[in-house]
Amino acid sequence: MPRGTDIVWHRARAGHRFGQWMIALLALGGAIVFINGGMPSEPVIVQVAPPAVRPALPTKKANAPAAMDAVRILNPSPVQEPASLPDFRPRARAADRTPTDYQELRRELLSHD
Amino acid sequence: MILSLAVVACSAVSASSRPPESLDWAEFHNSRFGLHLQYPSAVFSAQRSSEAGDGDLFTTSDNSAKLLVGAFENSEHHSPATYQRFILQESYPGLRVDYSPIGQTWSVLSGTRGDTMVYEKVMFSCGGRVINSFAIVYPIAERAFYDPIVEVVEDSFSPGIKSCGQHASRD
Repeated sequence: MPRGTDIVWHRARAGHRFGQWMIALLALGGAIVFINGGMPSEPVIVQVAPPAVRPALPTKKANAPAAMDAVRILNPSPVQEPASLPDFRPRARAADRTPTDYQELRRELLSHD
Repeated sequence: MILSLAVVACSAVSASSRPPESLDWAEFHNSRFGLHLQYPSAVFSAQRSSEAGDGDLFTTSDNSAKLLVGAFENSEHHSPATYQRFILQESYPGLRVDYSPIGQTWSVLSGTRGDTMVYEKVMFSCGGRVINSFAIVYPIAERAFYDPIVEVVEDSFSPGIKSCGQHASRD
């Protein structure tokens, strides 16, 4: 007569044995990944062709000014007159236009324009 | 450029070396007010005219001398004396007056300012409602040439009475 504390082993059925094997394999794989620190694999190193040989660059001499290439502006913006330049246009317009009356001509009598 | 300066200089010399009687004189007539005078066309050429038709400015080729002729309504009711004081203050400040006679209907103001000689004659017309004037300024250094010209211009100067009946309204 078996006692209450005895473990009774029953032989599993065939379908259950397959599932147990799968679980065991998965547990084994997980253990391996955990031991490797999460690294699934080593990086792949591929050997490639060496870079093409570049011409030797000129070395900068000590205290020598840096060489500058001439800069050519292909689309220069229109030149704008500085606002500080004296503007003679109002005087020119006043001299060109017809005076209004005798009094305006009188003011030109002693002008030296 | 040099050639043009030489031409101007030669013409000035030739004009200044001629007596006034030998110069070519032209008639000036103001169509609005009717004032009239003669001026030497070889010396002065018309430079500018006012839109109102009340003034004309003549200058020499080198712009050293100018002749202003004009007329206008006496809206300020000036007398010959008050108008002479007015132009002395407004137009010729600092003028050293050496000749300033005043008549009933006319006045003359003459003097120097710097190196410039000034001569202006004013004549009132239409009972004082219209002021007619001519003024001439020129270098003091050329008085020998211009003073005789001023005399001829003054003798030929006459005020207009054309617009007396219509208050000088423009045509």
